[in-house]
Amino acid sequence: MSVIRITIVLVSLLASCACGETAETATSPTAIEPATILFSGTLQPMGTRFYSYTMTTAGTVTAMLASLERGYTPMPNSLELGLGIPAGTGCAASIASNTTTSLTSQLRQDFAAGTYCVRISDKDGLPAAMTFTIRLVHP
Amino acid sequence: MRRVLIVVIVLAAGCAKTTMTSPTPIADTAALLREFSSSVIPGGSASRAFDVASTGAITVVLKSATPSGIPVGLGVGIPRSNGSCALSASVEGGTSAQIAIAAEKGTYCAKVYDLGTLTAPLNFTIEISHP
Repeated sequence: MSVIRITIVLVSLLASCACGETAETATSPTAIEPATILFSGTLQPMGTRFYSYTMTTAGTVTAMLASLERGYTPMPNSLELGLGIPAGTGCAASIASNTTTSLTSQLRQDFAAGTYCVRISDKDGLPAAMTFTIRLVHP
Repeated sequence: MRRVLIVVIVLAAGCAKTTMTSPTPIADTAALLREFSSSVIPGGSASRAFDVASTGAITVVLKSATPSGIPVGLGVGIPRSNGSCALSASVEGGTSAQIAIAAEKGTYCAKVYDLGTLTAPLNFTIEISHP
């Protein structure tokens, strides 16, 4: 075999193998920005309020009873905060906790895609109607 | 034949794999400090929203108030959808009143409000520290 033929064969081999690497198209993972819901309202003594929301993807839901006020004054009363599924005209909580206000989430639960609800209830008897604010974060 | 070898070596060298490394992220752990100055009218309030980047402590200090010596409410909470500040915790006091509360990543607010003691507008400055 002549030198020229050898050269042609080697160059062809190197060019065809493309350095042994497989060309790949890199794709960035799609970032799903969590949705933040602020649920505010007035809670009457022994009352219950809830808010329904829809998750298009599965993921972790966090709920924070951030504020309970009478006028401008934050109140220390304990309320039941729950996460669950709308049922009839109410919200059937699958997870619930008696809690006072905090700026860290009191509830954290994984859910599949679907329609859910967050519920706040007074079980102990508030001395008067109070305004609450719940922050809910879901995928 | 020597020329062939040279060609092969040059081509092979061009195929040398380069390893790229990502820069190591450096966490910024220093608390952010900011001042907010405004005024409160009798029966009113003033608030300022801010973003907390990671879980940590929020501290709010009443640095100055004019006229001085009049107690006011100082609180930390979460902004409602209408922009008002829903309080989670508060203290009552004059200059140097301070409140600290743990918080996770999110948007929060600090508020100064009249306790019913103001008869004229009060100018104030608060200092907010957060992660």
